[in-house]
Amino acid sequence: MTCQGCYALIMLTERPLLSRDEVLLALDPAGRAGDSAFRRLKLGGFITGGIEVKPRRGGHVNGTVTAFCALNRDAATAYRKQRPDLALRLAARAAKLEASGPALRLAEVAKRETPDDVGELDLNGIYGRVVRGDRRPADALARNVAKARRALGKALADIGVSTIVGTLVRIDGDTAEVLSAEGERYTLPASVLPPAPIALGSPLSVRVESLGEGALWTVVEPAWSDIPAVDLRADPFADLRPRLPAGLDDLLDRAGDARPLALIGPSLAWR
Amino acid sequence: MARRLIEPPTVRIAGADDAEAVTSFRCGHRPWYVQDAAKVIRRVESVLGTPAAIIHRTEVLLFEEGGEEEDRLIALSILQQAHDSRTADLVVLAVSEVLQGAWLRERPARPLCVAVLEDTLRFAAREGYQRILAMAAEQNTKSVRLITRAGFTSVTQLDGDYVLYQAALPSIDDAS
Repeated sequence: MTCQGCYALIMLTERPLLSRDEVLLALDPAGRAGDSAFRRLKLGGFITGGIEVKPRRGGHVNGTVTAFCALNRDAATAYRKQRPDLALRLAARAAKLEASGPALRLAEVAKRETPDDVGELDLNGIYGRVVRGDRRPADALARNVAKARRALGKALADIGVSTIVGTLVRIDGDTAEVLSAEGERYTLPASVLPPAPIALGSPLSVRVESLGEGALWTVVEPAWSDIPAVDLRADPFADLRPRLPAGLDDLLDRAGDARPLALIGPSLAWR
Repeated sequence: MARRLIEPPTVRIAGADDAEAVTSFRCGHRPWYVQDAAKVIRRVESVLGTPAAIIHRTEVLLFEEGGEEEDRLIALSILQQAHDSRTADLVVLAVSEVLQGAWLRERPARPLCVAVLEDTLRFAAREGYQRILAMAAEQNTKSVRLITRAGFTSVTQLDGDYVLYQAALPSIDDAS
């Protein structure tokens, strides 16, 4: 059942943790930045060391996943835009968040195996574990990151970065539409959407960066929702009336051609 | 008994600001199928403007009578997309409890409920739907008569006491 009453309480934010590659892409949107650039940034204190998660699988530690507070991407952007002062400030804030209680608890939760672990234990795998296990630390971290980004809003605007977080409400051929938490609707090219399992109702964050001379760099990613599994594709009135039967098309076909309606009266005045 | 005649209402699409007016709309308490409709109408407040409403293309049409000081909501209908993009779902059609049975001062006069249904169907056609579904309780003989006279035919019995009806919408040109 869709709980529309609950929907108003859902908090949507950017995902609180990013992969190393996502941070690197902010350093060079063309994707040319590699290990040495990353090391240089880290040594200079322009990005943090990240949170190390050692996920267990089959009773053994299964490699190490390093996840970075999302503010590191803003720090890398600031560095690219010749704002090392801002990059240092953002990295310092990110370091605090990575050392915070929610981040440490999240790393603990992510270590634990869950019955539905499938696929690679990369950052997406870690998010999956957290959602299946105990998502409270991730919710708290997401809230804290969002709060920090709001506080740094002016500085982010100075480097041309703005973010919209919302819900995918339409995919129609070449375009898609996102409804922000503030009720604004944004149209995007469908080609910028992340790959499946994105579907109608998915929370998305749209990060837009001005690259100068009118050029924009748009990154669309899954967003973090603190209430999982609200199926927005379900009929908002489903629990209040009979369900439409499965195989409706067959039923309608068997019922024969629908009769055309007879509209005999004049139209009412529209306002 | 003389017919109660009223001026034709105006129609508009409800926005998020109309949630309070929709919530305070009363279409009666009895029998049970009227209560079912009232529950759906009360849900509108929390649906308008949400992603679910946009995904389902949920639209609430407000039929208002001009008053001396402000417009009065006398009927409403709720329409959304059914299981595919060419099929509309008439979720609710309700007339205010104080105006049930009223007719419009038109020539020829027609019942308010017929005008509300017809303008809802025209709206659905203009939205690009080709077919429309409606659920009506078997015991709700007035509603069944209203929709079957307009051209709806029954499709199947649903859970409980409801029957599913369908009709083909006119083309956009014919609906204007």
